[in-house]
Amino acid sequence: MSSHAFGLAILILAVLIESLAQLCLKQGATSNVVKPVRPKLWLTLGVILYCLEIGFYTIALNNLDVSVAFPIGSLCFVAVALLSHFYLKEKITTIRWLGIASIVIGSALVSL
Amino acid sequence: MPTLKPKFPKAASLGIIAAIILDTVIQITWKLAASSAPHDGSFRTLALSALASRYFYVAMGFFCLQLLNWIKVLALIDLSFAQPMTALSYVSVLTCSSLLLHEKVSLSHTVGILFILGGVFLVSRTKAQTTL
Repeated sequence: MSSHAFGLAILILAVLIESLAQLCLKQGATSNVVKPVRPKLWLTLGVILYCLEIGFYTIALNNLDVSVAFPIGSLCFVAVALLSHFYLKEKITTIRWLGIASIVIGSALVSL
Repeated sequence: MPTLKPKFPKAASLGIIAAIILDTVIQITWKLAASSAPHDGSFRTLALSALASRYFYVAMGFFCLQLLNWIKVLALIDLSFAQPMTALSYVSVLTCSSLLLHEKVSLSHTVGILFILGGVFLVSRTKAQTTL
């Protein structure tokens, strides 16, 4: 596997891990307020995943140009939105999707 | 047409502003910690010299603050609302990089910033909390 392909694989993994970390943090944070469903477990899991993600992202950056890594990394906004919709049952309107799409395009442009 | 008066708890907006400021500080200090490393391309050298840099510990401290702040924000509003807002830190990091680290801002940077600002504006027009 070339260093570029390795970097891409690690980066995609980092994006997935970060999205899951956000989901765990949200789950833990909301549990505190609404329903006490093991908030500490979710928060701990979120923090662990977050730290893992930083490591993976750093390794990915070591193998890829920022101009490649950054736009792919910004797909995290899409992954988080999908998870929020399907798992947390948040209502994502067309306007919110358009906003997220614009942010992803913008993130790609700032890394050029 | 989207509603022009979204419900946005004040504590959440202060939390998001804090998140963006903290994110900016973390990224700048992180960059300072990494750039003190000799450029031989090795991950080990980079990691070891980052650990020796005081900026690394400053970044870590702010990272802990960021995490606590973020959990408070997420308790108030949708994840799919709060997280896209943090893209504003790209704008603030780019501005600070230009002003403090004297990095150049190109045309594509400027257009990208406009897309991010537009996107954040659109997200901010939606209802912040949809699950309660």
